[in-house]
Amino acid sequence: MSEQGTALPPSDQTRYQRVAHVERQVARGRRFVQSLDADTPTQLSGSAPMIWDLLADHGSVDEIVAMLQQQFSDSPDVIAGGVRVAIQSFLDAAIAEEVT
Amino acid sequence: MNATRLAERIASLGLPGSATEPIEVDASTGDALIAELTTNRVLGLFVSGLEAGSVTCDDGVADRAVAAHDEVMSQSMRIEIMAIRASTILSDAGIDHRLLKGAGLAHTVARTPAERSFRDVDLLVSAADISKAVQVLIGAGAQRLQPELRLGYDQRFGKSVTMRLDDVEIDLHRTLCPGPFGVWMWPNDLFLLKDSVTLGNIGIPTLNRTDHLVHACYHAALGQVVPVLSNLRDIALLAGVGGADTYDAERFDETVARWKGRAVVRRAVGLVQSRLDVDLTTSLISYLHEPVNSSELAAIDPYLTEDPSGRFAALAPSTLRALPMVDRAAYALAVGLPDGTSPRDRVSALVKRRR
Repeated sequence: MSEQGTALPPSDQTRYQRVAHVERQVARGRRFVQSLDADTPTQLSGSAPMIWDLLADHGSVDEIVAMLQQQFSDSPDVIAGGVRVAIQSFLDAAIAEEVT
Repeated sequence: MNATRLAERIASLGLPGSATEPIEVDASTGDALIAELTTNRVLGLFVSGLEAGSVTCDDGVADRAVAAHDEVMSQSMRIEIMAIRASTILSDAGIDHRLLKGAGLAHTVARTPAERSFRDVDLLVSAADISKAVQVLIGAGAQRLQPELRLGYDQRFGKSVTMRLDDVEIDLHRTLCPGPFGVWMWPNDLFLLKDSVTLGNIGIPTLNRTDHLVHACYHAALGQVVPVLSNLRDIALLAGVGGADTYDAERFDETVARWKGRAVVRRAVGLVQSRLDVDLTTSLISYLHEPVNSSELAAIDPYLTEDPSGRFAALAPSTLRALPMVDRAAYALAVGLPDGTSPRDRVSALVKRRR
């Protein structure tokens, strides 16, 4: 599995997109995602698979937070923190990229 | 219940007619069952059964099954990426093709792709294109694993050309099976209709559902003496279980009749019925009761050679008989005296092959 890096967290208005990839929903709520250029899959777990799915249609931290606020009672700051961490891990694993 | 029977029950999960009570796996059977399910490419059904509560076992067996399934899925994803790459290479070269079997079925027929694993990439190209397709893949870095027996053999007689690219095996098919049933089929029929499966945001051409079912039957009946359970489940899923066909039964019957394949479908349906707990559609069940030409029935025998290394030699005589007269000399020459072998070496090789 790919390791997470330590780059700066993504900004909330920047737009991101998922790169071309294949994926599998595997046991215990985990998701394997592999970009077409990678040799091994990245494992997503916890809330990351949900954020990964939302990233398919919502390209910024703000948009994803707005979607998650409809489902969870946590404060926007707490949700945003989780979303930033997840997106950063997607960027580090090269399964998502910034839209330029 | 032994591991083989347990695997059959697990391969039947979710199919109409299968048992609804939970399948209990005891610790002493667990590892043998995981191996059996992996070989039969249905480990994903065990894992999804665990999550749904339709399979129960102790935590140790569950952990080992999940770890094994993770590994299988990693391999399948790698192969899926190669399917995308190979298909793109062929498309860029203007070569029409169809993705066959595992990678195509995992995303279209299986309940989820995680329930259907596969080990290689299978692509169908027309006889007219196979030499070009081989060259194009070689140009992309693939290696051909066996040389062509004689110039033109691939296009006239070969079932497939096996290649390897980045340690992934690619089978470039001209027909769906070797031997007489390969001679009797009309592979160009499979290019008349086309479905598509989206892999990695790319649309990959694949067989029409009815053609997938024809292929699944041929693969199950003729591919191995004991077919893997995923192939049998494919047949049940493609046919539509529980009374309603989800394929074009009329077209299926016409194809099977034209390809002299009634005995093939009869054997495939019999295997599904004997190993899976499933109510197949009446259209398929009818193949068990309809009369079959005795020469078609007899043609199955050489496919059921226990020793896989002896299969080519076992099929050669019946292939020769099935070929039109005009092709027989060329086939016999290619099989008996391939390019690059002296007659003495070839005789020696054949003797070794038969042992």
